[in-house]
Amino acid sequence: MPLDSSKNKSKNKKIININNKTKFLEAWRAFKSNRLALIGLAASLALFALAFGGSLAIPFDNAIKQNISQRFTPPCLEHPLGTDGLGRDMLARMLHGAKVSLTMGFIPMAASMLAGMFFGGIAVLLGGWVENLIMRVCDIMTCIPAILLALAMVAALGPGLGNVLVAITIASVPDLTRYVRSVILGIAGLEYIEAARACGASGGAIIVRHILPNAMGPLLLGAVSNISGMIMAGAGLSYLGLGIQLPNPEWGAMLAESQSYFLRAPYLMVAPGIAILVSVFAFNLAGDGLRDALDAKLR
Amino acid sequence: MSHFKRLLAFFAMLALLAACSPKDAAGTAGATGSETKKTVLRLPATTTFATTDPHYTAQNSDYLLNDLLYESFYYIDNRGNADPRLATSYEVSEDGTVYTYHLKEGVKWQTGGTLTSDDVIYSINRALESPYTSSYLAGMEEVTAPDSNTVVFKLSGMSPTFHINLCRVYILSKAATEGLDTGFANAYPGGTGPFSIKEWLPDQKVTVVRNNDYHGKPGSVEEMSFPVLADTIASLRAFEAGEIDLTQVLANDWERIKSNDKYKTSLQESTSVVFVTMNNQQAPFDNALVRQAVNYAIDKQDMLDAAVNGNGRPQSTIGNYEMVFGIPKPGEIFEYSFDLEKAKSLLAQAGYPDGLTLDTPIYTLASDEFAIPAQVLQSQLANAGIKAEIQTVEQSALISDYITGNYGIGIIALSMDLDASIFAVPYSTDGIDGLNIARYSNSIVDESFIKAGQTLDENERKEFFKTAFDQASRDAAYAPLYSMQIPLAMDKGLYADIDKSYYYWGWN
Repeated sequence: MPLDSSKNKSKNKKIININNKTKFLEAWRAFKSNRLALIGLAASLALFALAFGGSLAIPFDNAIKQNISQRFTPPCLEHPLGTDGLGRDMLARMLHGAKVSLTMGFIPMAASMLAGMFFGGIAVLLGGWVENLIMRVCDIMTCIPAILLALAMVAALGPGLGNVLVAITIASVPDLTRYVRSVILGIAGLEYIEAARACGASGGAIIVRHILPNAMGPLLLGAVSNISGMIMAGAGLSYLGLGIQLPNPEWGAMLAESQSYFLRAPYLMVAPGIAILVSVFAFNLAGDGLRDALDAKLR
Repeated sequence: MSHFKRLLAFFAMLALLAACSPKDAAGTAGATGSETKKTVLRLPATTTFATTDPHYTAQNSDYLLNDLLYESFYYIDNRGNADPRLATSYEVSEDGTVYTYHLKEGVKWQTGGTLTSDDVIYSINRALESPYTSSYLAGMEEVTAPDSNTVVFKLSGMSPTFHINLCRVYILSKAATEGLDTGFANAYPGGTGPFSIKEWLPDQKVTVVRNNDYHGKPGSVEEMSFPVLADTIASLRAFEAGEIDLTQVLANDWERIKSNDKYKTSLQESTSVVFVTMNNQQAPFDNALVRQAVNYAIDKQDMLDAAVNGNGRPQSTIGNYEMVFGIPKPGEIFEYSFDLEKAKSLLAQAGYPDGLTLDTPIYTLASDEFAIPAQVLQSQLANAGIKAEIQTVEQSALISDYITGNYGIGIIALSMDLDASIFAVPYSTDGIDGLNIARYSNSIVDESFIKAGQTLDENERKEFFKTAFDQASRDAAYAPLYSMQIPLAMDKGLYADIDKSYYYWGWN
C-alpha cells in the first residue's frame, strides 16, 4: 500500500511548529524568570523609545541651535541637562545623539552578522580550499584588534557616519564568521543532519532547512552580545573625532567635547557617559539573559 | 612582643622612607624657611627636545633653549624690542645694502676661548646651508670680516627686515662645533649664552645651569628645569601640585585659576591669528560680494567668547596688530562689523537672493581650537542664508588641500611675527600655491608690499602696508577673526616678562 506522503508532510510540519512554539515559550519563560535580563530588556526598549520617540518630540534644530550667551547653563527647568560650550540644549543633543549611537550598534551588528552567516555558511558548505581561504583571511584579520582595524579604515575612508558603520562592520566580520562556522559545525555533526544527508538532501538544502533554523538561537545570541561592543566602538571612533561630523550629536563625540570642560561644567560629561554605560550594560544583560534562556544546559 | 617588634619595624621603615624622599621640590637654596629666595625655575616644555643645534631647530622646546644657550647680535623680544648681545652697535649704508656689526670684546665661549669674527663667518655660512635658517639670510650676497671684531654683510638690494632676520641666526663657536664628531644629537658645543646644559633627557626633562662666565648681566636663577608636559591639562595638574612654577591654562579652567589667590595670572599676547579662508578662485567665493557677505555675517565677539572664552582680540588682518610691526591698528583700514542685513543684501546682489548652499564644506582641523569656531561660523553663516557642512581632516591633508586650492572655505590659524613684510606671502600673487591659501591677487597689494621693501623709513613702510591691507580688506581676501591670548598661571613670587626669553625671568 503506497504511503500518503502529503498527509505525512503536513503532520510533520505541525509537530515541528508545535516544537518550535514550545521551545520559544520555554525560552521566554526562562528569560522572564531572569530578573536582570528583564531589566536589560526594559532598559534597551526604553533607550529605543527615548531615542526615536524623544527625537520626534524635540526637533533636530534644538540639538544644533547655538546660543552663545547661554553657554554652560547648568541643568535647570528650561534645559534639564544644561547647555554645552556653544549654548546648545544637552537634552536635545542627547536624544538625537541616541539615534546615532544606537544606529552604530545595530546596523553594523545586522550587516556583520549577515556577512558572517554568508562566509561561515560558504566555508562549511564548500569546505576544502574555499574554507581554508576564508578561515585564514579571518585569522589574519583577527590578528589586528578590531578597534584598530576600524580606526585604520576610517582614517583611509575619511570620517563620517557612513564610513564608521562600514568600518565597524568590516572589523566585526572575521569574528562573526568564525563564530557562525563553529555553530554550524556543531549542528552539522548532530544525528538529524546525518539523517537528512542519508535521505539524500543536498548540502544547500541541509544548511537552509535544517542547520540555519536550528542555529538561529546561538546566532541571535552572538548578534545581541555584539551590540554593546559596537556601540562602544562607534563611541570610541567619534571620541577620536573620526565618527559623525560636527555639529551633529553622538554620545561618544559629546563625551569627547565635554572633556575640555570637565572642571567647569562636569554635567556635560555625566549625561553621555551614563548613556553609554547604561546602553552597554542593558544590551549585555539582555544578551546574557537570552543566552541563558536559549541554552537548555544553562537553564 | 612580636607585635611590638613589628610596630617598631613599621616606624623604622617610615623613617627610612621619609629620609629617602626627594628634597624640597620648590628648589629653594637651603630648602628651609619660606623667606629663602628660590633659585630654581621649573617651566613646562610643550614638546620633547630634539636637538641643541640652533641652526636645525624645529620644535617649540628647542626654540626656548636656544635663547638661553646661544646668542646672536641682538636679542629681539616678541614685541620687536632689541637688546644688544654679541654686537655693541651696527650701521647701515645709505643705500641700505651694507650692514656693519661691531662685536663685543671679551665674550667667552662656554667651552673655552673668545668670540671672534671668524666664529660669526663660520656660523653664517653654516646657517646658509640649513633649510631651517637659510631664509633668514635671504638677499645676502657676501659676509666678510675686516678685523676680529667687525663683520660686514653685503646685500643684493635693500632689505628692511635683514637686521631682524639676521638676529635669528645664533652664533656658534667654530672650534667647538667643527670638533663635534657625533653631531649635536649626542653633544652640546656650548654657546655664549647665560645658561649651559646640565642634564639632557630629551624625552623627559632638560636642565640648564647659570653660566658664571657670562659676559652680560648674570641670570637671576641658578638653574632652570624643563620637564616635558605636552598636554596642557597635565601641565596644569603639575602646576597645581606644585611641581612646576608656570603653566598654560585651558580657557575653561581660566576663571577657576584666576580666582585662586595662590596664583598670579597673565594673558600672553600671541602672533597666532584664527581666520576664515575662502578660495578666491572657486565659485561662489570668486565673487567678492559673497566674500564680503561672509565677513559681514561673522560676529567676532561671539566667536571669541565661544572659542577662547573671550581671551583674544578681534583682528582685521591675519596678523596681530599688537605684535607685528606694520599691521594696521583698529580703525586704520577698512573693517567689517557684524551686520546680518548687509550680509543678506550683498548675497542678493551677488545673485543669491534666497541664500546659497555651499557645495564644499567648512574645511578645518578636528581640535577644539578650530572645531568650535567652525561650528559657530556654520551657525552664523546659516543666519545669513549660507548653508554649509563641516568637514574635519588631519593636518597634513588640510595644509596640502589649502595650498593646492582644493577647498572652498575653511578655518585655520597663521602665526607670523615681527614685521608685516612677511605677510606679502599670504596676500601677494606670488604666494599662490604657497601660503596665499585664499589664492587672492590684486596688483595694488602686490606693489604696496614691494614698495614697503624698498625703503628703510618706518613711517613710509607703515603707509605702504596700510594701503596693502586696506585693499585686501575691501576685497575680503580673507575673513580675519581673532588673535589668541594665551592664559598663563604662575607662582606668585615669579617675576615673568612674558614677551621675553626666560633669561629675563626670576624670583621676586
